[in-house]
Amino acid sequence: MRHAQNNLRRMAALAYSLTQAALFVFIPAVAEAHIVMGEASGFASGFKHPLAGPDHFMAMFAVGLWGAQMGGRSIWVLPVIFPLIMVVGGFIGVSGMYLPGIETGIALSIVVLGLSIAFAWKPAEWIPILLIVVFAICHGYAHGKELPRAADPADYAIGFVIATGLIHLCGIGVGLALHKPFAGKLARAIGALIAMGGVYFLVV
Amino acid sequence: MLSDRLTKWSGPILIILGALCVAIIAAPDLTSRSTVTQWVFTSALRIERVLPLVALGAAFSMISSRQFLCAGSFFILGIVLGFQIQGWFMSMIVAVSRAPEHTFMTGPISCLATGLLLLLPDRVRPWIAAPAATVTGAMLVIAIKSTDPSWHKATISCVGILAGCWIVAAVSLTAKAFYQKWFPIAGRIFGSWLLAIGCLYGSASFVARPALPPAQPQEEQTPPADFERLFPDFDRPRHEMAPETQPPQSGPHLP
Repeated sequence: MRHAQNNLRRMAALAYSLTQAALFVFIPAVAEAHIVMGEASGFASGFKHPLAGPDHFMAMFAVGLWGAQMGGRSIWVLPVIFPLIMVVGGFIGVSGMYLPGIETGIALSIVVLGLSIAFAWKPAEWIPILLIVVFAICHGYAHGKELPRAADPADYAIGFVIATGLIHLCGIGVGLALHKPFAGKLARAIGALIAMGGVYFLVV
Repeated sequence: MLSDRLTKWSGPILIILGALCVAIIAAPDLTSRSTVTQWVFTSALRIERVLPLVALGAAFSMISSRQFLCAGSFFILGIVLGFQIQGWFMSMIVAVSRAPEHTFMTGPISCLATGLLLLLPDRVRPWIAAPAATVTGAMLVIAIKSTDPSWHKATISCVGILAGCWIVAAVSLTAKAFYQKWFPIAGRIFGSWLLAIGCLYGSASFVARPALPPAQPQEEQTPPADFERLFPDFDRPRHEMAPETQPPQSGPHLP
């Protein structure tokens, strides 16, 4: 009975993840450039920003998923490092400095993270940290560009950091749930879908 | 037995009681709310005020009971200290650009203190808990005083401090009673969010907003046709007016 319940829970999580991934990959109407040029306002706007941008959502989700797939300390090290380094990118964006190739960097982050999950890559601890540092600066810069335009920059910052963290947690949860069934092949399949999404952003 | 059960459920009971109080004061419509009630929703329960207090409560749940009592005392001490240093603190921080707009940076400072407390290793946490609690308590009071709409009425300060203490106590007692092995990991992740929020919030406060584009000159609007028909000479020079519509010349009366 308990086994059946566990299976059902795993299947529900899998269905949710696959639906999310499929939506993001196959619905181009949803895809848009990450640096939103509209007027940003307060907490709600900041909270919506990472959730509304599929590129950011996929990257954050992949960070959590990859950490869970690697296991051990990586489960929490990557989601802890990401927001802290994102602040550096945020500072650069807020200060108005220009960083070239941010959009490409964001798309590449999705491809690299997706492929790492798809191939179940478990490198030495410093390699994922280094990758996360580079990617977090790209994502932080995109958010930082938005901050000065926000009606309430403080609330906007709180909103997007919380949303980013929640997406990480979602990724960790799905990663841990899919770790054992089918020897982790489901998580790898999601990784492949994420990488495809990254390629889409890179090309489009 | 009863005391054990009471200890375990004191946190959830506090949460329920507090939630009931909030629901009761939220019941009347916006126009009939008192100054205190409006302040509770617009200031005391703002996310920037609540987050560091939740973090402090979470950190308190990860230390031993004795350390918890000690750190709680330092939180109270911080509240007392806040009343003493508010003038000095405000005069110091007012030099920072746009600080008064952001409650004198009390939000970012509290976020940094509590974020660091959660992020640091378990061995270090008890040592940092006391100073972090003091800073958070002091910042709570300064934030309350700087947003007080009643010109320093005691009610606002009491309600604000009560709300702050309630958040810390409810979170810490609940988390302590239902402690799980993964709490420290979740705490670290939450701590990193707070540090990021503190840094970004602080930097965002310094940023000058981009200047608004210059307002477009409005096109000259022609008066409505009805107005023109009713008062045809309203906007014309006097010499262009029809003689029959000219007002009588006013001047000194001659004998």
